[in-house]
Parts: sequence; structure tokens; C-alpha cells
Amino acid sequence: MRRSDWAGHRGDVTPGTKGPRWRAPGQSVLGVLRRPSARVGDARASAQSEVHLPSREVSRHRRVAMEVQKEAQRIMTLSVWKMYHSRMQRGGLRLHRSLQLSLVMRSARELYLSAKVEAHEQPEVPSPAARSPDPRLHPPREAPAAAEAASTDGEQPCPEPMDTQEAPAAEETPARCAPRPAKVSRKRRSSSLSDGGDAGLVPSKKARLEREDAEEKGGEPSEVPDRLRAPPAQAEGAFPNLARVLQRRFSGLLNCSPSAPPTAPPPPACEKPACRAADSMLNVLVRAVVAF
Amino acid sequence: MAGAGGGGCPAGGNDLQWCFSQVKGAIDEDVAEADIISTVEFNYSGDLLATGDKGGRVVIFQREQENKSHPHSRGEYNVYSTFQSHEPEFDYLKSLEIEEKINKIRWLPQQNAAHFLLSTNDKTIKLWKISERDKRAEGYNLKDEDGRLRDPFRITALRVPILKPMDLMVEASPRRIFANAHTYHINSISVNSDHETYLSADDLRINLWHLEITDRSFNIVDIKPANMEELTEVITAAEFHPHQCNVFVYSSSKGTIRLCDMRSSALCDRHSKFFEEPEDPSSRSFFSEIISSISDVKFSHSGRYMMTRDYLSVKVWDLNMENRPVETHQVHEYLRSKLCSLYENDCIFDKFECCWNGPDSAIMTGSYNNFFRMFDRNTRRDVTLEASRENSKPRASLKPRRVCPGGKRKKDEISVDSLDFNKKILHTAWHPTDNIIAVAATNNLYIFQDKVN
Repeated sequence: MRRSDWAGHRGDVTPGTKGPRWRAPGQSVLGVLRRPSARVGDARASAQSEVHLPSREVSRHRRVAMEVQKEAQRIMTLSVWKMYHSRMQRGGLRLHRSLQLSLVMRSARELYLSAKVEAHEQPEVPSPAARSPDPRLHPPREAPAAAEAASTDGEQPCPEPMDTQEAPAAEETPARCAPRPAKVSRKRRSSSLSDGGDAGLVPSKKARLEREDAEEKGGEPSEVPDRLRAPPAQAEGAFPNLARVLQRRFSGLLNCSPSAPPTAPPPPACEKPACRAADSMLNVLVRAVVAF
Repeated sequence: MAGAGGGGCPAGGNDLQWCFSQVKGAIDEDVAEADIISTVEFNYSGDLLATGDKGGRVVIFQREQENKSHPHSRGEYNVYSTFQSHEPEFDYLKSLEIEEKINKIRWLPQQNAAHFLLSTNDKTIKLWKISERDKRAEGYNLKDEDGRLRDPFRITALRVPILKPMDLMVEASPRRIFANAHTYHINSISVNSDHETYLSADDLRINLWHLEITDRSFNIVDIKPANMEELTEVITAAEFHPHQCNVFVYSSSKGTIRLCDMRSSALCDRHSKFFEEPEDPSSRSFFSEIISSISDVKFSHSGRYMMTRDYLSVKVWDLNMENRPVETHQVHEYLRSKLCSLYENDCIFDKFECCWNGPDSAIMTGSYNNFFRMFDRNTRRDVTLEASRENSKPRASLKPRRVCPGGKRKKDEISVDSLDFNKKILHTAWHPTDNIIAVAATNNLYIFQDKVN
């Protein structure tokens, strides 16, 4: 499957179609949805090396990977939006639809992670782990050029920066960030390439500092459930709670610095809570269905 | 029905020339949401055609007797009865609105002069009796013709009331209401071949009902995990075997079908047969999981085969072979490269249905742009036809359509980018014995027949 296949050309579908047309700005939004996985952890080691002046090949490779990243982000945001929107429709949450959306979100997340790893690793030392998601994307991997060309195509018509949605969200975010100093502080912390956004996976001094702040580290699965459990508890029972949680999570996703430089990876700080957010959102939705 | 190839039913959908017969519904460009047809079903004889819409209404068409002055056209379908089957409801406990949209209609076999059908929305199934009244009693002793009571002192003689013909009146009355048995949204109902029981399936459970008993049902399948966070698949469709009253199948969102035998245990959580085709790794894509979800499952009339519809293809399975289908027909493979766009506009979630013809030699399913596809199982040929107002002249032949996947577009072809994804044909039905098909295109119902030579 070629990169262009899922790049989502806007011109594909006739104008009469419905659906959100906005796009996440750069990489700010979906920094998110990161879940520690062995795959990414393995790749981590090879990605540790410092940046050197990229050759043409490397930069092209990296560009493709970052395009993939952006696209995965877009799909993740879209999925979140759809999930949030689906509870507003008549008849309430549809279990099948929610399940499908969560599947897409997971795929997008995995894709995003693997693309991110690829974007930061040396092409001479391809991580076997990072390679594995590729066949999912486009088995004929030998056409990166075509894929890239197509992807730039796909990005151009890209569109509508989500002006209207971003502005209010951006306004909300300072307010929402306030009650969460931990989150904000993590956000300010590094966005160095070496981190690769996976600070949580590898014990480091910074990671440990974060750990003190808000007892969640990707590398410690035992703590994950704790974090996950918190939001669902709020969402038990009536849907208004779910709405609040979804709103908070959703704008938390939008929160992550629209001003981040496009080439830098999203601040790792942003990823963790939002990563939990997405997981917990799935759980929240699922629990809401239980209450259903 | 198998082997009923004689008479007026030549095999296959492609040796025939399909012609426009009728179209029902408003011509308005502005389609009211409530008018969108959500289910179409012929009864066992094919004389009645029922449609349900999003507004909770059921409209039944009846086939007229063949007109001697027009021997070349079969009987037309005209409105027989219209009634409001379901109303919008509100679940106060969960603060949820329950849609009145009719998800499925299933006819019961006719046992007397009245017709019975089951109609269901997301939560409640109703058994409707449709009966005719064409006689009226006249000459009552105690009341006048206009209904006023007569003064008893005025009655000097007794007479026997006589039945006089009147204009036909068709009445629909709800005879049973099967409610409160489903936590999740009902997606299927299926009448058993014993004509006494039927099943209803929602996302996680299947219940078995007796037609006479409304206050309880048996739960025969329950795939709800103990921890909902571990949910990985849901039930998408279920159907009873046409002849074996103990056998039913249900399909899942993962593209698998399970056949269950009710004799083996009371709770059929363990399947007797498990149908799954191994995934082709080369076609694996980002949206593979979604498009493999089965939206409809239908047994053949013979009961030997079953057909499943997923987003891009139709598959025919032999019940005796579980590891792969015996036939796979691509409905609109050109959409495979557009899955991302289709995800954006929600079209990837569309649930298409499929149907068999009488002799099980052809299958039909819908697509976008008001196209529908027919596959002849014997000749291996397929055809794409369109349900449109432009081809609506009486007995006008339908011209096969072609979609150009990309590159140079030939004359008479339509390119993928020009397809209208708002015009989708999700519901189709094939007459049980004749070559008459009903195709629901949004708020219009098209009826096509084969050209009788």
C-alpha cells in the first residue's frame, strides 16, 4: 500500500461529503497517544545517537517519516473528534462505531510512533523494530520517492488550519493548564532530538524528575493503570461527566503548543498525559458503554 | 428454492436485461432525514414488499395482478398499507434518546388471510398484523346505518344483518411488543424455520424469542467480556438457517462468522463452526480492521451457502468449509486507495446489505453513486447498474455502468473522483422467485424487472 493511499487526498471525495475538514497544526496536537511498547523501546537505543549533518538520502527518509507522522497525527485527532462527536448523535454512543474508531486511533498511534522513530534514527542502521510497522503502511517499501511525492501532494490541499477550533482551545488551555502544573512543567522541558519524545521509556534524570511530579512513566506499566483509572472514575454514571472528561482530554490534545516548531518533535511532556488521555478516553468510552 | 430454474426465472443476473419498472418516493432534491429508507424486504410469496424508514414508518407495497392489456409487464407494486411502527423514545435511566429508525423488517410465513411482520428499531421489536377488511355488515337491529342507537320501541321486526362489500381497508395493528431485552443496539432479527421463534441480535448478545411470549426471552449468545476494556469485537449480523431450526450464524466486526447449534448447549457461546479467511498480508493497510467488518450475512435459499458483505467485497461461503470462502467478489475495489478519505467523511462505516436471487445463482449488493452490483455465480460475470431518475422511463433498459479506477477515462466511464458518496445503496431485495429487484436509494425505492421477451 502506497503512502499516497492513506494520505487522504482532499480531492478524492465529492464536495457533498460531510465530516470535519480541519487539520491539526503541525505536530503540536497529537504528540499524544504514546504508549510504551517494546518495539519503540528497542528502537530507542539506536535513536540515542546525536544528530549529524544528514545526507540527502537521510533527509529525504526523514522527511517521509515526518510526513507519515503528521498524517498519523491528523488521523488520531480526527478519530478523537469523531468519538467525541458520536456521543452527541441521536441514539447515543454506538458500540461498534466506538470500537472501530478506537482501532483506527491505535493504528494511527502505532504508526506515529514508528514514524517518529524512523525520523530520528540513522537510515544506515534501520531499526528492525521500526521496520515492522512499515508493511502495514506500504509493503512496496521501495517506492519512497513516489510516496513522498504523493505525500506532498496530500499535504498541500491540506487545508484549513483549524482556526476556529484552535483559537478557543488555545484560550482554554492556559486555564486548563493551571490546575495541572505538572503538565505544564513537562511541556516546557526538553524537546531535544535525543529525547525523541520517548523520555518516559528510558530512565534518565529528566524522566525521573517527571516521575516525581506526576507518577506516570511510560516505562512502568504498573503505574499506568493508576493513571488510567482516575479519569474513568469521573466518567462513571451519567453522560454529562463523560462530556466533561472528553472535553478536557480533547482540549488537552489541542493544548500542546501550537507554536512548537514544526521540525522539532512534540514536547515529550505533552505526550505522556495526553497519551494516557487517549487510552483513558477509550476506557472512558468503554466504561460509559458499561453504564449504558 | 434451489433448482427452481424453470418457469419465469432464468438463472443469473447478467443474461438478463434489467429494465426500469417503478420508482417510489419524492423527487425533491432536499431529502428529509425521516424519509430515508432503512430496510427493504419482500415477503415469502413476493407479492408484498415492505420498506422501513428513519422516521419509524413502514410502507407496504402490493403487487397488482397482471394486467391483461399489458402482457409484457409484470404486475406493478402499489401502496398497500402505511403505518407508524416505532416512535422516538427516551430512556430516562441512561439519558438516551432511542431512535425510531426501523433497522430491520422480517416477514412471517403466511398462515391465514392476514400478513404478519416483525419490525425493529434499536431497542424494541414489534409484531404487526396487516389485515384486510372489504366487507361491512349492514342491517343491524339496534342501531341505524350511521351508528345511532335506535329507539327500542321503534323496533317492530327483526332482521339478520347482511355483509355488503366495501372499499378495501387495510389495517395494521401491533399484536406483540418485545421490549426491554437489549442493552445495546439491535442490528438483526431473523425468523426461525419453525415459524414459532425468532432471534434478535445486538452488539454483544443474541436473544431467542417465542412469537407468543413477550415478557421473556432466552439469551443464547453473549460475547460481552467481563471487563469491557477488553472488548475487541462485536456482533454485526445474525440469521437463522432457512431449514434447520437449531442452526444460526452470527458475524462479527473482525470479519469472522460463527455457526452455532442450539442443540449443543443452552448458551451458544461456543461455536460449532468458525469461518474466517486468513488475511492477505499484501493487502493489509491502515484501515484493514475496519473494512473487514462484516455488515451483512445471508443464507442462500438452499441453506448450503451463506454470503457475507464487508466494506469492499462480497464472499460466498460453503457451510462445509470454514477456512476460506468459495467465492469472493470485489464490489468496488477502486475504493481501496481512498480509504482515508472515506474515513474522513464516515463512508467507511457504511453498512451494505446483500441478497440472493431465488435459485441462488446470482447475488446483488449496493455501492456508491446509486450504483448496485450483481454477480452471476455460474457465468462469473458481474454488472454494475445505476438507480437514477434519468433512467426512469417505463421499461427502459438499464445500461451497465463502468467505473474508471484511475488514469485515462474512457467514454461512458465514470471516474472514481466523480462518484457521489452521498448517494449510497445500502438496502436491496430480490423477489423470492421472479427477477424483480427492489433497490433503496436514499429516500427513493426503485423497482426493476427483467425484460420479458
